[in-house]
Amino acid sequence: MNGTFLLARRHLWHHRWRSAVLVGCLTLTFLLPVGLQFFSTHLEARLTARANATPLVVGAAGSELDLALHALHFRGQPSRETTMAESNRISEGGLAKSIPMLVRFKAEGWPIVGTTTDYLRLRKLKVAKGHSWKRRGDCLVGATVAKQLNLEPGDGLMTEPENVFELDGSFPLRMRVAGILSESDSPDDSAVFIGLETAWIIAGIGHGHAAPRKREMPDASPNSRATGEADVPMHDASLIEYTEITEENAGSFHFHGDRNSFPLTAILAIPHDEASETLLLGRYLSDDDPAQIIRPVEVIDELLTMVMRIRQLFELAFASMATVTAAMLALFVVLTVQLRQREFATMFRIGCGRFMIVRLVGSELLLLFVISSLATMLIAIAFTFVAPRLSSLLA
Amino acid sequence: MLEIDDLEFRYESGSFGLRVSSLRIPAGESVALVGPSGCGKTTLLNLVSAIVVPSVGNIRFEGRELTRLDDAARRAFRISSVGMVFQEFELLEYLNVEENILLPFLLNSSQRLKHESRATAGELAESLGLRPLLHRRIDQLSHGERQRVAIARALITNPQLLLADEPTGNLDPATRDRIVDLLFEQATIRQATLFMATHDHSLIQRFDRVIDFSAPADSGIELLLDKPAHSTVNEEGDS
Repeated sequence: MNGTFLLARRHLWHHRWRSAVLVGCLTLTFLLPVGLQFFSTHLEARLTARANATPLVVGAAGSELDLALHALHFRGQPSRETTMAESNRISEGGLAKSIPMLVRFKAEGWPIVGTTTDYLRLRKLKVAKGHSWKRRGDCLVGATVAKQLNLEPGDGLMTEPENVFELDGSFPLRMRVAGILSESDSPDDSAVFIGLETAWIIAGIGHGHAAPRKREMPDASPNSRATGEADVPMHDASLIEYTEITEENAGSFHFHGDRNSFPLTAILAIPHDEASETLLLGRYLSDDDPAQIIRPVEVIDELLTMVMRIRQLFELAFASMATVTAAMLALFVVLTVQLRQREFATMFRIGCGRFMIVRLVGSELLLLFVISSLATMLIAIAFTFVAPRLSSLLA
Repeated sequence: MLEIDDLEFRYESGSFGLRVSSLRIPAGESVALVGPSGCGKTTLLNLVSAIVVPSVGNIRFEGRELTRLDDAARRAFRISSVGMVFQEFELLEYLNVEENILLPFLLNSSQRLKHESRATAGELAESLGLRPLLHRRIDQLSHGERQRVAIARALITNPQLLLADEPTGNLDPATRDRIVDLLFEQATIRQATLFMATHDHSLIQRFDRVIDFSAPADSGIELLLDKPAHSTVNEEGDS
């Protein structure tokens, strides 16, 4: 080993705590901008890729960003909901395929996405284990959810009540895990997918219960007894409402009301071609329309522009921090040289030149930089494993 | 042979200087520099080791004109031909004993530390009784052991000039005697010229020659002082 480097290494090791503090400061100075760049790039790529894969989204008029984040990343709730009629309006218009979505409920904290199998096809989601929905009450679980909750096909998964204090609200439904989706490195990994009807059952629009008892009217006429008019179904507290859909009770589940009025939180619209897209966009130009249509890529671009501005502020802060670190390092060098005057004088008397002393101090700084750079690299590599997780939490 | 002729040196401040009209020290001779602090002993050692350069005059060592050497050549001369021992040992606390002994090699940027250098350090440590301490830290050594390490560092390049600047100043009498014995023994083995600056008059009988900076005589060495006025130093031959 070169003598200068040996001396530098020994000196740094002898003062290892001081060296560790310097390495820490330098690593942090290197790491913060690198980490920010890495993370923002990853987040940007993730958001953009998802937006690019979703041509149009229709929802109730309101915040475009809320609708985009809700439909693409299952985050937040639009202030108002739309209905199945809107989805039918798109399909029947012949310009696009519509994929209705109802994302209002959660299971163990994970969002439940009520949709159709078209959604799975659009996102190219494959069933890795088990099978797709076969009946109401079945769910498909995203890879991350399955891993976190340790779920296997055949297991049960309870929905969370919307409001525990609302006694007449929807009851939690125990869903059957029909299959586990393969990993897609997207928000779909962190969601539970169910059919729309199951979603409406969770919403309390559809339900299943045992056949109601019939109350006999003692004073009924023989004629009305013969026609069955005297048997009045009794909907009282003894009526058992099912909280799980099984083979046996599946037939008892039914919906009340007009399906067109059933709620949806978003509708993905896949235009047949560019012209259809333009025409479809044109249909939502009216300010009076209770629905809005958005191009997610434009909304996300706007969001990213804002993120970039914030990033620039961070970069400015990091540049200031780097300047402070550089000044601190310069001070450290000056103080070190002053404290080591006697040592350097001895070296000079033995035969060491001033250039050699500069090399010695330079080697120490170089070693500190190299160690800090290596630490930065190692942390950055570790970060590559954590970043997708972090960005998926944000995106 | 060390030859000094018509030399005059003054520090930049101008308040102190040294003039040597003529001084001849044959190779292998031992010279004691005695006198009070600040009388010029260290200045003479610095001139002989080419740390400082006289404004006028010549210093020749083994026929080599030291005053004409450039900075790099003077540094090379110090590393290859001069071994220095200091009063405060001046060992580097962040190196172990072996690395301190090898310091002149470590400071020579043109060469990597060779296996042979380590072997030489080992042999030297053996001869100075330092072998078991080679991998010890400096703060684990006694004063006497530290000075032995400093001597080993001075000897590692097999120098022809061994300069010791009050090397026994911080040692107890027993250790002092052992260190002085060691210096004489090693200088004799290497046929090196030994210059030792010392306050200790009890040591001067052991030297071939004594240059007394406190006694005016026609020694050929003159102190250049602003205050008091000129005084000369006496060069005595050892009987």
